[in-house]
Amino acid sequence: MSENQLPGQEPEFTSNPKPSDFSQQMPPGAPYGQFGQISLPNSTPVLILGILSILSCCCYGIPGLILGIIGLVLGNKDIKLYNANPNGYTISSYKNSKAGKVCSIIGLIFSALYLLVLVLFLIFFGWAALQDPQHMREVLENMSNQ
Amino acid sequence: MPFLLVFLGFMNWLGAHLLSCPFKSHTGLDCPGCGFQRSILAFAEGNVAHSFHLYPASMPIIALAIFVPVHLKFDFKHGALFIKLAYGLIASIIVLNYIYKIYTHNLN
Repeated sequence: MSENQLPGQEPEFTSNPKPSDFSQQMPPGAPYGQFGQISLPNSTPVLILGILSILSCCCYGIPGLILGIIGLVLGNKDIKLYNANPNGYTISSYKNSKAGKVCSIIGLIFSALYLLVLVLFLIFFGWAALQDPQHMREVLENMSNQ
Repeated sequence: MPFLLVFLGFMNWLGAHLLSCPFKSHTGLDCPGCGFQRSILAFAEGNVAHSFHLYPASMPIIALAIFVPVHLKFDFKHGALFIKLAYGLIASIIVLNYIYKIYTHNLN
């Protein structure tokens, strides 16, 4: 996995031989120079998908589920990429990816809960009541009278 | 100034063409997102209290929607952490508001 990413990094490192030699001896996260560091490929989309996943809680929670799952998968990919080669990517994009992943998880849980509530509604009130607001009102009034 | 005119035009259009929630039009019950558009309209008219009453999470959502592009452009040091916290706050406001609506029978 890490060998596949190395060829892309090597030209930038060979143009700055000294900092790359230096950074290999430093522990990860040490404040060495920013040479050859690029941002993770999906950090911005992951963040935006994660945030959109909660706004689309309408339409039975399905758009939120889809956006949340895409955000989670892309975020996990980014985090794996970063862990395989921490010196090759910027810290800020890693933080963005992690924040996007957290947002995706929250949006996903929210959409799933909403879908679950809808299914419970369906079980308690039945499909006929959900189709017809008038019928629904009668069912609710019967429930509150009991 | 042209931006303001476009914004006012969009708000006018949105006021005339509010997207209807499929769940609400089917059942007459609110979904967790219902009230958001009306709340944004009230906020654009300057009626903050009414906006909060319609949908308490709308103002944090607007703030987050403004903050995220600015953070992506300027890359603040604790921007990602702030987004995470704001997002958790928004999610909990939405959930609490929906539970409150269910308990007070304000769903329609």
